[in-house]
Amino acid sequence: MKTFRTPIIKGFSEQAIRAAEVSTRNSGLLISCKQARIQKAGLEGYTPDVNDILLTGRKFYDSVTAAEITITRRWPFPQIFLTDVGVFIGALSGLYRITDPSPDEYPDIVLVDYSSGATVWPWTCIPIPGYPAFTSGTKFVYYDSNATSYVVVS
Amino acid sequence: MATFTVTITPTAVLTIGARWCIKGITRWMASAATTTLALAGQTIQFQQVEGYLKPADITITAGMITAGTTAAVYTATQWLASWGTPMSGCLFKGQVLLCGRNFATEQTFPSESRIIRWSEIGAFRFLGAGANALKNEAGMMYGTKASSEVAMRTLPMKDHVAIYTTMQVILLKPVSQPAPVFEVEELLDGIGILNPLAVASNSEGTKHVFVDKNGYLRELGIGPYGKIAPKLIGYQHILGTLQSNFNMPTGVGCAVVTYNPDEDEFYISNGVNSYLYNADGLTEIGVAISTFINLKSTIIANELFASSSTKTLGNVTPLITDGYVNIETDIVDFNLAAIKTIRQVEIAGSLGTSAVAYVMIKYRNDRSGSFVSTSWVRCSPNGVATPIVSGSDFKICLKMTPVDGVVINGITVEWSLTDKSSVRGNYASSSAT
Repeated sequence: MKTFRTPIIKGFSEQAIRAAEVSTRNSGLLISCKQARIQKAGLEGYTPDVNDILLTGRKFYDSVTAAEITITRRWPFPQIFLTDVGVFIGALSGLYRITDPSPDEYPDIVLVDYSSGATVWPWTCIPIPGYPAFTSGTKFVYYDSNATSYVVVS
Repeated sequence: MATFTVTITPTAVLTIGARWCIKGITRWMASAATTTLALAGQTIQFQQVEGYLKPADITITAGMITAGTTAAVYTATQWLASWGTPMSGCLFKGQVLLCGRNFATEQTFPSESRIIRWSEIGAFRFLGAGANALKNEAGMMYGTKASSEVAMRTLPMKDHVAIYTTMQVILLKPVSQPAPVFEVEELLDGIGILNPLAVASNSEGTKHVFVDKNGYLRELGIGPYGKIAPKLIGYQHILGTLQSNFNMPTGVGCAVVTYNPDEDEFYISNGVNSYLYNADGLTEIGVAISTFINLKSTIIANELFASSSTKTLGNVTPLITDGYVNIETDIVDFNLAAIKTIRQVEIAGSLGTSAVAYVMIKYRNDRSGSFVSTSWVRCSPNGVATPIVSGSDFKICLKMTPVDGVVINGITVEWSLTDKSSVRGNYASSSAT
């Protein structure tokens, strides 16, 4: 019996999943593609290699009181910001700066509390050199040069 | 005539220009300077100084005239508490731009939910709270749509700033003439975002990727002749469900776009499903990422990641843990409506060490019918499977494990024509083998 060979390539070299809702027959595109990404070399199996801030067993402590701080995972919190003065954690429960990763007690982290109290909207960072500001629609944390300290507006 | 004076405090403002005058009567005068022209009912005004909120105008009373003096206090402030908390902000060429404000209910016109404020250049001072109005650098404007509009996000875009609201996308272009202000250009009307994280920028600020409130993926980038232009990408049939039942207090339906500068790719997720979008296309990934930074070779990175080779950090939620790459093609009928038989599927590419691959075919004989699935057929070590199945329409499904090491350039389907009733010409009359 005569047989035919039909290559299907487009979905493996460009676009991957089709962008339009309407199906186009024989487009060569995909309707589902999981745990992969499209690259010039083809479709490659892929999982982003990112360390999770909420590593299993990791605890957070207040730098002043040494009390444990609970950082809850509730989408999209916690958020992490890299600034010129350090790494900040925008959490559901407040804004913190990592002051000491505590290598002797890895993986625990010591935090400086900038603004405790629940937020609703996600944090965004305004990367002012030396004095980054943060706002969340619920809290606004900025450096007041008159008061020479950070101010929290709720 | 009795003398009259105004005492200004704090003393810090006296050397940076704090002055008072009687409106229309005297020149600007220093604190404790006297005049003999004061009368009850006249208005005392104060000069603006940087970093302070000037006192409100004072109406001179008979008591003040009798006492021969009154006092006024400049208040050190950079932000008024009554302005509340902005939804988001950004830094642009030395100016801070803040936008939006959250209200539980719709506000009356003009509504601060859609306000956009920008600071002086090089100072965190805003118009009405410490900024020098005469410099004309700090300013404010309202979004141009309804009072129910909420300005969600400000992001630099090349030499401009894009403002994403719930109802539009506008571009603020800095101009130097007639004064250092922003010119407003409306880019998208009726198209906005639901939350501040629904848009992200690449590192250079030359491309924004956002999920609009209807679930369409869109880009804002540099178009022809350097003009900033929006571009509709699509994927509404996939991303539309990400924002279903949007509720920020619970985080449900909160679509987040996160940029990974190391790989030049965007992650789009709502915490339940997650996608990767790059210059080549869209795929689904097995982790939800709401934030991403790379600490590289910093001291803090070495302490944070004692046992990890990568120095990236984020909020990472595993979603798919089966360890398989899963692929399904769009409908294939080989440009023939007749019944065909798929005899073999070959996977082109490499599958990695100790990899196992499977092929499954979804098929149907009636175009109005539903697809039926075969069982998974394991591929030979060279990536060939023989899932013999007949139908008019097909979808080819692949799965491979482990995920690492899989690179597929395409697949080749070997098929034969089973039903020759729709064929004309040589094929129908031949005895092909």
